[in-house]
Amino acid sequence: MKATTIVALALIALGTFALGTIANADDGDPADSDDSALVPCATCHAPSSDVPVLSILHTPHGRIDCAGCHGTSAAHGNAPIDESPSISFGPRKPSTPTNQDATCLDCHTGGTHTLWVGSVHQDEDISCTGCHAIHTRQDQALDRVAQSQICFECHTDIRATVRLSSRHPILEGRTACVDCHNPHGSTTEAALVEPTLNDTCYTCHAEKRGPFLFEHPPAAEDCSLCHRPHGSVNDRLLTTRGPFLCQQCHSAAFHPSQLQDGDGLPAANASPFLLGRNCLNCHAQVHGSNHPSGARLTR
Amino acid sequence: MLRAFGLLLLTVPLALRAQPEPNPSGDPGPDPFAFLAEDTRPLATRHAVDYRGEVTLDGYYISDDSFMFGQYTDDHEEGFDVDLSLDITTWDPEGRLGNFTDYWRVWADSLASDVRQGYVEFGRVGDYTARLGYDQQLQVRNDSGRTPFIGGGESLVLPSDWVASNITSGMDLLTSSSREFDQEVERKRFDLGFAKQFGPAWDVALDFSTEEKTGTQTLGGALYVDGSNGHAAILPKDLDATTNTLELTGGYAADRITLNLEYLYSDYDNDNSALTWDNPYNGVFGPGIDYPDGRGSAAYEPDNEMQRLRGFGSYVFSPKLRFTVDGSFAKTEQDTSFLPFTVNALNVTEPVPRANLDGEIETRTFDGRAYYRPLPKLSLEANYHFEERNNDGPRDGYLYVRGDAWAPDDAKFTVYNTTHDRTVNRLKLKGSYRLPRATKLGLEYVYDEVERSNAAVEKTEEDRYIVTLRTRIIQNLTGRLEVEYADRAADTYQWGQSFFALLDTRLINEIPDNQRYITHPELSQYYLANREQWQARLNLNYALNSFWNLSLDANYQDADFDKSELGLTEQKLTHVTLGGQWTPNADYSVSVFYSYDRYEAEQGGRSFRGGAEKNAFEIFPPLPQASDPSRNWKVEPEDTTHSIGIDAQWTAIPDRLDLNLSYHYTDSEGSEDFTTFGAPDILGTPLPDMEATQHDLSLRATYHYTEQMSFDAEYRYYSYERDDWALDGVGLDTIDKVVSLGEVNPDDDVSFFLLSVKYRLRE
Repeated sequence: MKATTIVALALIALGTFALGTIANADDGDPADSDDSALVPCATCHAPSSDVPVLSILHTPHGRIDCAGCHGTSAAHGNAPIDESPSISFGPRKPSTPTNQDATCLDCHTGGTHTLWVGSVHQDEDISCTGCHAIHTRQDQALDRVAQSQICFECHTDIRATVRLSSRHPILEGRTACVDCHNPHGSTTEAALVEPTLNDTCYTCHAEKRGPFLFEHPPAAEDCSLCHRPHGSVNDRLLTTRGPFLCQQCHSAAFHPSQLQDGDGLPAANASPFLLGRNCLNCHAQVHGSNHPSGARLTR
Repeated sequence: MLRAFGLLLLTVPLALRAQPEPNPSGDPGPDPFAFLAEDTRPLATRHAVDYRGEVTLDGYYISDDSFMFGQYTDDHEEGFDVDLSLDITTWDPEGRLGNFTDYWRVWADSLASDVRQGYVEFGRVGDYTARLGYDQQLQVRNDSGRTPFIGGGESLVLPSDWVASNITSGMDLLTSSSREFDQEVERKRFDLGFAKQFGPAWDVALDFSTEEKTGTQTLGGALYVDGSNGHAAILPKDLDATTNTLELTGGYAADRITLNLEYLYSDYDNDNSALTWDNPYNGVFGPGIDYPDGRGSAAYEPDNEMQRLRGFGSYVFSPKLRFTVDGSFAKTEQDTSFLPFTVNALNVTEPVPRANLDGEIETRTFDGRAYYRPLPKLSLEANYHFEERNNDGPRDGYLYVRGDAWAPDDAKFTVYNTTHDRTVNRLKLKGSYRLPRATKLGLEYVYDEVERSNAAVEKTEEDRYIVTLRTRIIQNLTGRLEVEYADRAADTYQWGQSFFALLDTRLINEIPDNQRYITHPELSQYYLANREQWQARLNLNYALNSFWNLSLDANYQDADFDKSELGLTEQKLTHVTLGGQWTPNADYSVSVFYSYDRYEAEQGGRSFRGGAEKNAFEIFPPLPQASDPSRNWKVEPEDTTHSIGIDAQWTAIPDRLDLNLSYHYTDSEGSEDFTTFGAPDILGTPLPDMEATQHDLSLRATYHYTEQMSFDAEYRYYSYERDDWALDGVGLDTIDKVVSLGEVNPDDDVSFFLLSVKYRLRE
């Protein structure tokens, strides 16, 4: 008997045994799960294989038979090595991203997935499985700590930025990428989850929502005019440091117009306009003031 | 070999079921087929398939205090500690947990620390999900500050034996009476979620959360008569606020149409309304305002309430044509009672014009998109975006009591609040075409129009042109290039707008025409100003072979605010990342990256006085300062960061010992270069560079003692050093008129030792 024949018989025997085990373990509603659909697939993709494809049975997708996502795959069944399943998610001979995604979109149509077609990620031919691992118990893309590593694979500028001294707790997973961005598509510029940038910031910083009696117009318009949300060299995620940040827009008579230079260091004049919190030593209410004498955002 | 393997596989089922024959003595003896019953699957497979969860117990030691190391992790203090985490998921198709559920998950992390979090979730797939969660977060800031103020909540006082002075160095007890305090903000959030599907098309969801935010921040509190004589103190500001959020969602999804409707209610409730504090100064403002009787006051962020209705959906007209819409209407209101103009015994007879702002902001957004794919290789998209912020708050005149120290004696000093509205209309047209060699060419045009009320510029219009090319350059080398050009044109800049909006007509009439401005007329606030901007992004990815992958990412942005003489005139951002991954097999992997980030800006100013000098339009010498170009100055702030990251993983003994190494290095430098233009009193004396260096090294070994139990040992070295002139040498009394915190720049070296045991729970 040839070795290949022995292997084939062995795989069939093992697969049958495994399938029996699985079938016995799952006496659920037959309408929910049709394990007979696993038979031809599990013959090769057995529990003993190095890639634990059958761990899908421990996920919501375990309710779907293989053909539900991979298609009937008749050619693959006849020539497992040479032919891919009808819908192949790789690593060999993957189907086009559009065809792959169509499988997922059969079920995941509404909610946050509504705007997938035409989204930035779809436009870049990133398929669902480019981020999601379907066969594992814990999809890394749904793990708040691990998720960012998937995003950083493409968004490399953010990978370095989130380690700067002033940052959101993204590495710790306490602020996850999806808290602000919808990777499945959005109508906002940076695929934000809320209708506007400021609304996105207000989900955690509701105290900045106001409305204040005395508004600081750029703060009410666009938080990113002063802050870099992913991280900054400067304290409080500021785009640049004070007092120079404030002086990008303000040049009023007397101290707001003066150059704050090395003469303001402690060894010289110890300027209140340069040191410590500089402008915010007095004008601390930069997001707006609700004090009736707070016109200068000091109170 | 292959034959042996096949035989082995063939006999596994038989071996598992084999009943060995007893020997003549009745002792069955060792099972000759026992080795066949051994599980040959990799450990990772067994962990993935055979277990439903794990419990992890950590014990660790931190060698030194460091607020930077434990900025968000509650690991900012030296000492031993323990922690517990667990993650258990059970799929229950057999209904052991009852017929109402087929899975549940319990997840908890850092249970013994102040950053604990977790949730319990259960449900039936395709039917419902219920979830109860808790999330506690902590942010620690520079904890080296000290303050002489005692008390908390809404009132801060000075020690009874306080020695006041007109400058901080005269406050004899400032240093000795100051206490340390922690700048920490803690969030505790409970959330409850329930989602239910009704058939294949309908679903509803409810999410409720309540978050309590407490801790201590800081606030610059100022007492002043005018800007040249401001006296301030950096205060510890207690925080005690709650945000409640309720979100109801309903969705319908069918073959052609998808609809979602959301209602959001968010309520922010601040337990504090005013912060008042003893004036630490005397000999400045006079009796009643100086120490010991005078106090300062500032308002906390007001309570607010927001409600929003949002709907979005899509309609598939045909496989080639799809429409999506997204619209929202939100209303934010606040009616927190106003504080008095002053807490000091000033001669203020005028009442605050209203009891509260009765503020209301309406926000409307709408997005409509048509996505058309006439040919398999061609896709076209048209997108319209509308956004409106309408501040309906009332406009009134308010007495401007300067810094709780001076009350105007004439109604002409009344100032007026201004409401700001904004409307955005944006049209985007986009097309992309697929060419041979995995090439895709994209063209995009965006017209962006922003109209503002009560702003220096009524309308800005911007045209943006974007070209994108993605291609396979050679075998295994793919590239993507995006180039964008944007040109923003602003209406005439009304430099006097904020002056006229703020001040009373009587005062305006007393000020000469040529002095009617606040911000210098040659400055156009950059976000309202003309702008020409280039932006380019390049991505290259090269799969050298099946082991090596190399990548290059680069972004460049150059914005030129060419119509503004002062303020921000140019801004550049540069980013480059070089990355590489080496994965020779499943047992080894190494990834490295180097990133370079640079922010550069050019901004100008003109140092000038007020009063009769404040004439920016005088052209004959001797020029007043406001029109004297020799009083110009220019500063070029620059921040540069180099980052290096290495992550390596090695399975030293398969299924037994895993080793991990991670190292991240960040080096940042900030500088300001000055240029002056001749005025003898404007020197442009250099500032030292800001420097910050961070090393973060982690060595971790995971030993799988048994299939069920693993041990982890980790050594982590963290180092952070910052040299920043804003804090360098600034003690509590260094600045004459600011009682500072005396914070020092961090210079931390931390060693972190972790021993951890993980126990897995079988299915």
